[in-house]
Amino acid sequence: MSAPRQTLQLQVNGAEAEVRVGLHDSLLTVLRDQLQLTAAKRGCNQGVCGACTVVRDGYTVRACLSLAHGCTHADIETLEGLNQEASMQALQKAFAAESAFQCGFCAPGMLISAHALLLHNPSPDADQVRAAMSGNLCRCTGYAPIVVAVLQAAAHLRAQELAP
Amino acid sequence: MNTATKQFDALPEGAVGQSVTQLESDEKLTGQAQYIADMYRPGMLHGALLQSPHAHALIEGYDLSAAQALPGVRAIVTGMDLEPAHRMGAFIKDEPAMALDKVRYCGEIVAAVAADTEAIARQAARLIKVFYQVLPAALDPASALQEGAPLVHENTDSYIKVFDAGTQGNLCSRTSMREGDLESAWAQCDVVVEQVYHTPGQAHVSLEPCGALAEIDAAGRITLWSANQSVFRVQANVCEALGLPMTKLRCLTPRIGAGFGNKMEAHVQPVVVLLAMKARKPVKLILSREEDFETVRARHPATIRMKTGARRDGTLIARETELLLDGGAYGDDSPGVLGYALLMNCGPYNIAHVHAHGRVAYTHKMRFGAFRGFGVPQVTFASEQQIDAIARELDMDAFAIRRLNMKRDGDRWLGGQSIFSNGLAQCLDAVEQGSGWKHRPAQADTKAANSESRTGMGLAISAHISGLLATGAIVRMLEDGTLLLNTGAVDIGQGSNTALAQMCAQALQVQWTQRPQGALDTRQAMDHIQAQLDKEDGYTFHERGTVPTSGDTLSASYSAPYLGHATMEPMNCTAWLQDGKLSVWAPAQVPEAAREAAAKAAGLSVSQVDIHITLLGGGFGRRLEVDYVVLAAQVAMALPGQPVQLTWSREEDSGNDFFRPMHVAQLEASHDGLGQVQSLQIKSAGDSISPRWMERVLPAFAGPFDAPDKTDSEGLFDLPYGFAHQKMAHVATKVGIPVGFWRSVGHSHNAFFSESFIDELAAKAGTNPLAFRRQWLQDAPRHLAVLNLAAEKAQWGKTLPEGQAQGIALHQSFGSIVAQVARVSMENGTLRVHDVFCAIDCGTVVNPAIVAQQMEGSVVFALSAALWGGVDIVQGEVQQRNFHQHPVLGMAHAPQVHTYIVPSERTPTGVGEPGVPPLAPAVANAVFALNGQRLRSLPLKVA
Repeated sequence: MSAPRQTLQLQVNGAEAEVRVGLHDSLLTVLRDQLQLTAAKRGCNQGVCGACTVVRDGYTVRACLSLAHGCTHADIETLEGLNQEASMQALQKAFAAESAFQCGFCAPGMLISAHALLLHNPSPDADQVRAAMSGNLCRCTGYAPIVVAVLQAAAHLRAQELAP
Repeated sequence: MNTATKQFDALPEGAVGQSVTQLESDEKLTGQAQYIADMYRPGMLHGALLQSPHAHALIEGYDLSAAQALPGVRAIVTGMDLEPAHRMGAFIKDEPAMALDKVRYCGEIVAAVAADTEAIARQAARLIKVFYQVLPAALDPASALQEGAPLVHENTDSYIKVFDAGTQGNLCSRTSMREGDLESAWAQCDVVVEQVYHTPGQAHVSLEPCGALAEIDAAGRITLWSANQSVFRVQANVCEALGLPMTKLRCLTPRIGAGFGNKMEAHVQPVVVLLAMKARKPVKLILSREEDFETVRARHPATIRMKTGARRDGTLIARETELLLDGGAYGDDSPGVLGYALLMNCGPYNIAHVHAHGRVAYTHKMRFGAFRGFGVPQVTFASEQQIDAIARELDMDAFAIRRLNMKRDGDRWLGGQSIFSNGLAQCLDAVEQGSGWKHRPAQADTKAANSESRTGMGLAISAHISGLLATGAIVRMLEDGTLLLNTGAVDIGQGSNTALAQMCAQALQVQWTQRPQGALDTRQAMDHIQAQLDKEDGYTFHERGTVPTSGDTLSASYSAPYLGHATMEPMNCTAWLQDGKLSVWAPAQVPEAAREAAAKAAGLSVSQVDIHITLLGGGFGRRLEVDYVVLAAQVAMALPGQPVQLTWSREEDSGNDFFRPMHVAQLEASHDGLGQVQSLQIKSAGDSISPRWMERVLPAFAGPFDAPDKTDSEGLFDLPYGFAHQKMAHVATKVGIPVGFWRSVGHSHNAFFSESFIDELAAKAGTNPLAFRRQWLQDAPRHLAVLNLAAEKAQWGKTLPEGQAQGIALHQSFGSIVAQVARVSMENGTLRVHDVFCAIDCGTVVNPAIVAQQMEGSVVFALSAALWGGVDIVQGEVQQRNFHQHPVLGMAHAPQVHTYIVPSERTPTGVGEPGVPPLAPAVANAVFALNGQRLRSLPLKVA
């Protein structure tokens, strides 16, 4: 009684990906097990911890709560697809400098959420950062260095915009 | 203090004290870090668990049929796959890999499935039927310890225990510590507080759930990756739970998404290994968040009855702590947590009279175990509130009472342990200052306090033992000078890898200085030696007759490269300093010199050094050196009492040899009007061995300048041929590449030069090489006899099969005369030596078999060198590091060696070395006979 599988085309990180998917398979399962895009993590599988956060059509979503079949006409972006982006790199650099991670398990989700935040709001204040990222749990850092890192990256990106 | 850090490409000197960014930073922030769930192996199956729905029940049976029938299911394991005798446990070995015969907690692993996908595995697990007989459960520690409570373990007596924890019935462990005289101490107290505190269980909630991946190879060996906090605990737990020999299990650690103690002991590793063994395929099992909460472990719920007494002035006098920990169904780390909590229960205060005692109770619940703090959070919760309560009673400031009682330098901990580092006073000062304690809001009047928000400040201090669990580190320097740090400490995100690397970089401040010979190069050496040959006259070792004034000359230039020894056993030495005496075991050819060198390196007198010469795995002259002894002695001196064995790798051996020196030679013969040789002059050039060797090995005999070294010219200045005029000279150079004695020393290249040139002279005279030599050996009957014997046995002159040719050479060295005839052909463009006919006059033969063995060994040894021998040094680095770069003749291509001994009653002379020199020229002469190609340099490259 295992669910029958169908071949789907997904748009992931700007490229077409062909996957064999059961009706109930989550986007998270498909990204990780079929496409080996393992940056998005399974922390709770219930949409609570945020470690699975990816971008769908420009908005952050829980990959663990998204059905793969429901993503056939969407643009999916994971951390792997954003690693070359200047704004992501600014965030990564700031996270490294501020020790905004320890075990690193929440980091991909944090970076996706932060990246999406800065896309919509290039100059958030600390409260806005905390609110926007409250859906990403971290057990190691205590959150303070994450907020500092996001603010630092935002400032750096704004300065670059202003520079000739 | 902020958390800002800096990334380095390479850790700087003085790395300790710098906020270095975590070494794993890039991989974690790009999402490339591999945690256990991110690992995939070819053919991998996915695992899923079935958990017990009951807290306590007998397992009467299983029905696996529906689960097994599900397509994609590859293996199912239950307690039926386990041996009852196999149990794990850090302190009490009470735990099977999964429930066997009974379940002891709701959530316990009862079965596991490996299937093609996780979904199939989970579905199959739900299809497994387990038949239970539900039993009453002990769910509360206090009642579990009463008579008649349901037993969690019936057979605690049969369990192996690491120490006597007093395990009995549902009492898992008990501990008691006393100091002073508590009973009478209460009487001295002006204030006593007593309270019972309860702390609940606590889940770790590491963001990464537990998981493992096991893979079995064709030999039945298992590689196990798992999220863990100690790879050694993984190995011990899995091997004990499954009865596996430790040699069958290799445990590896991927990146870990936090632990906090959850991953300290086993979780699913034993079950995953069992699945992999049954399925004969890799199996990965990652717990869901729910399973991680329900199956693994949590912090011990605790009931703490604490009583503290003090004098009016605030001095703490007495403390009694009674601790009851809920241990859950299995011992896990509970005895350790109990003992540690009691040891730390007073906190960092001097309290003279203490009784700390406690128990861990087995209950039918998930096991409780290690969690950040390891029992100290529970007792500190109680203790620090009691200190505050006493302070309030005495109207003392919270800081003041702590300062009055805190441990100071020289104080000892409960039980007597010395405290090595105590900055508590400074910590209190910093916190008092930084928090603004002196200006904190006053305590609220409880009646007035309503829905308005208020703030308050509270103080607590505590202590922890560093390195409660210990591990080690091994630092290795690899051949290219890079450093590898292996450690048992698992980095779960706390930065241990980074911190240890900083410590290592600081401690091993490696500084490289380029040796003067650092830029040595064999091509430059050749140019230099050749230039010196052209320019200098050198030292004349032998001259006879008068230089002819006229005549037709034939001249030729010959050369031979630097040559390594390549003994089968690389350089090594064992040394042991005990009570001021150094014992040395070395495969050395120079026992006394080795002993002296060891003594000098160690700073000891020779009488304090014992040397034992072991069997040698090949010497060939390399072990006339003492460098390998000096190094071992130096290491042994740094580790008194510790035997040290220093064995060189093949690369280190090849790269640190004392080479047979590179030589070039100019040979010139002049012929009279009848075409007869009237003069032979040989001038060679190359580094001298003996002065360099003296400097190294017998420094007392080394002079301020190099005396002429006969080894430079041996084999040239003592030719048996009766040419009227002979002059042999050598230009000693000093290139600086380390040179030493190589089997047969100067003869090894000089015979090639002279015996090849003799053949050139024979060819010019139009005489065959044998006849030519005979002609010039009229006054050397012994040489003639050896030559004739070899020629006879080789059937010199007989027609050989198509494509084969013979060459002959004759040479005296170390008192013995050897003649060899080599029979060669070309096979697929490669020179092949089929037979070597070897005649020797070595005086009286002591052991004919040994003579033949030495001839055979010498021939093959010399042939390897003749065909492939040669060392290239570029920028100070030896290029030929291992056998793929300087090949050695193998069995398939070794020639047949036929040895013939000239009977003699003379004094015995050498056999170890004399078989080497004639071989290269015999082969070169055979090549000339074969195809007319005259090879004048070694190694022989046949076109």
